[in-house]
Amino acid sequence: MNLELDAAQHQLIDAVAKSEATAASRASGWDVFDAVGLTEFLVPEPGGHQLLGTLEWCLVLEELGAGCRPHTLIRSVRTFLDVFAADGRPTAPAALRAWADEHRTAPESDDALVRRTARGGWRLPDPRPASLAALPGEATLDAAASRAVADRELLVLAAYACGVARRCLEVAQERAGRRVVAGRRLLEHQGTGHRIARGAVDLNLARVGLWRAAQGEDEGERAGYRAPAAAAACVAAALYCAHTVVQVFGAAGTSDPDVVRLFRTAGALPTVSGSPRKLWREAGERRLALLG
Amino acid sequence: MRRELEPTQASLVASVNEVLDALGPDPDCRKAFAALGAERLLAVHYPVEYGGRGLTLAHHAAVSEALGLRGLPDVAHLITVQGVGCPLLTFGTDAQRRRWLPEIASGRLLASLLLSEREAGSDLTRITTTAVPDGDGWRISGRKTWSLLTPWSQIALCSVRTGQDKSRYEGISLFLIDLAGPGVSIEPVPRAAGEPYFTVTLDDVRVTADALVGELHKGWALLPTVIGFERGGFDYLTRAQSWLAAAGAAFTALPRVEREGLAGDFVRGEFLVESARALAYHVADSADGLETDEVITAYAKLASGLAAQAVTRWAAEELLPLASPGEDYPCWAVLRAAVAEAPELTVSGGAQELQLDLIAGELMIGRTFR
Repeated sequence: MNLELDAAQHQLIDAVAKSEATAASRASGWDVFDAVGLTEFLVPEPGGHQLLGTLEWCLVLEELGAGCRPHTLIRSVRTFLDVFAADGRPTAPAALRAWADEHRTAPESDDALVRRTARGGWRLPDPRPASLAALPGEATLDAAASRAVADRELLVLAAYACGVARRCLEVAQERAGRRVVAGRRLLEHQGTGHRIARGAVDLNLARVGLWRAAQGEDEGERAGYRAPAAAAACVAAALYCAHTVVQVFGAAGTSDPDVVRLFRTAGALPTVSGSPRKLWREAGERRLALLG
Repeated sequence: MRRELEPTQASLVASVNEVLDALGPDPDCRKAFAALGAERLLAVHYPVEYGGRGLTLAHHAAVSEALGLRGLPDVAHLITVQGVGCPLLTFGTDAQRRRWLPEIASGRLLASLLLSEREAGSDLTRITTTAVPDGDGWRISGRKTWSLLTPWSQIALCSVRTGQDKSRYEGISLFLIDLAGPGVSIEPVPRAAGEPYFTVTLDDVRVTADALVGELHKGWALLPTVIGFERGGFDYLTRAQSWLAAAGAAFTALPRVEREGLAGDFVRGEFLVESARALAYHVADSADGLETDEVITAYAKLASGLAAQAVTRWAAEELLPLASPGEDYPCWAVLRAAVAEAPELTVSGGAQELQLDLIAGELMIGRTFR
């Protein structure tokens, strides 16, 4: 048992992080992801494999969360693909490795289709391109499949929350390491340093639970109640870390644009995911149903 | 990323359970350790010539977890095999390794750590126990405390001052002490719950030169190896797992209406313990030989301790008040003991403040496990 990501997953993180760092301030999460050059590969060839498994999507969304990038569009694209282009989930990492090995850039093909569709107002063309021809004309999901799609959606949202939490900690630590109060760096005051560290522990516990649930999905084991549980832990961590960064900045934390952006982004999370309290309750109800 | 034990780890766990099953219910701990040692299961990460199997720390971790879950005093295993054995393996002389390691791996010899003192606490540089040269050996005097399972042990690894330097980290040395030798007295420290602590008074205890472990005055550098695995949190993890199991049994026995109100808390406990377990295994799996990264280790120890405390707090606040008078299932007794013991989990093995300090100064905070 370990938490080591493989080389391709690290490469994916690096690529998205680099894109995030250089993207325009108003760029959306989808814009950031689009610039990586991966979108061509999102739609599998018939009989092929998904490029990104749930865990890889989580890695992408964490980077976008760290940049507080708007996430609605990219989550919509992911869900669209989850419903319409699901294929070979267990072998997704192999497809990612192939991408990483080849360093391919995105030509215009299905990439454009996905982008156009994701940007709204576009319908799938008829006749469909070869890679989509094998897909059913309409996606009809039974209750269990719908629930599974919703759970995976919750997992990637939880990953976004992890990114927000992480950036809050980074900004708080940077500030606390630089600012001197009463002759010592703020970070050396236990009241500050330990608060940041507790946030880091919460974040890592939440992220580990999230990754395990996401990897389970990729290995064919439904996340089930673990999806709302992971979301509850990740959103709670984001909220705690957002409060922490404001506290570390003091009065400046209520006006510093970066801190305010982080605080607002974290504060908006429960609106999308539900509150941690509600999510734990949902997880409990589903666990109880399993216990009988 | 691997979510489950790898096949060799799973096989070791199965072997441990097989040996313990053969001993029947509630076996004597010494017999259990000896039986496990006979199968080379106590120190699987030691080289074969010293009674191990030449495996890794991650394999040892799987054995540690299995022992803890079977209710064996995993602390004894942890302190003897890891806390005392690994410094000998890494820094000991050939003669020391040949003399002590096969005994430790066989389960016939238990050992203690004598590191802390009443005024030192978690700051192990503040010790006042001293060793002064005496012919070809040393004489040691002082008072060590917060030692576990000391009366069971034949030897102890003891930190002492052998010199004073400008740096408080210099001038500390480690010696092996015969606990049955003259000048050693052991007293229990009264305690609310859990394994008792002991105070060990060393009154002019004579040791020979070959009792020195590692370089003279440089004992501080050895301490991460001595306490590293303890701080990995495996003993706390198995407490968290056992307490969660007891809480789960109590929860499952509740009427449906009560369970509906508490199910979210139960899942939260499960989530925390599962995540802490993954962190603890990651520490062992990412070790460089016997050395673990101190920041990752800090995360794992804190995570296990906090998860265990969260489970017991839930039990104390929500479950135990629901126990009917006269209803005395085993799980209630486990939970009552757990509630009393839980506060210690962020105190012993290095107070949580030490771990929080390490994490707060982490170079890439929040990215440790990515």
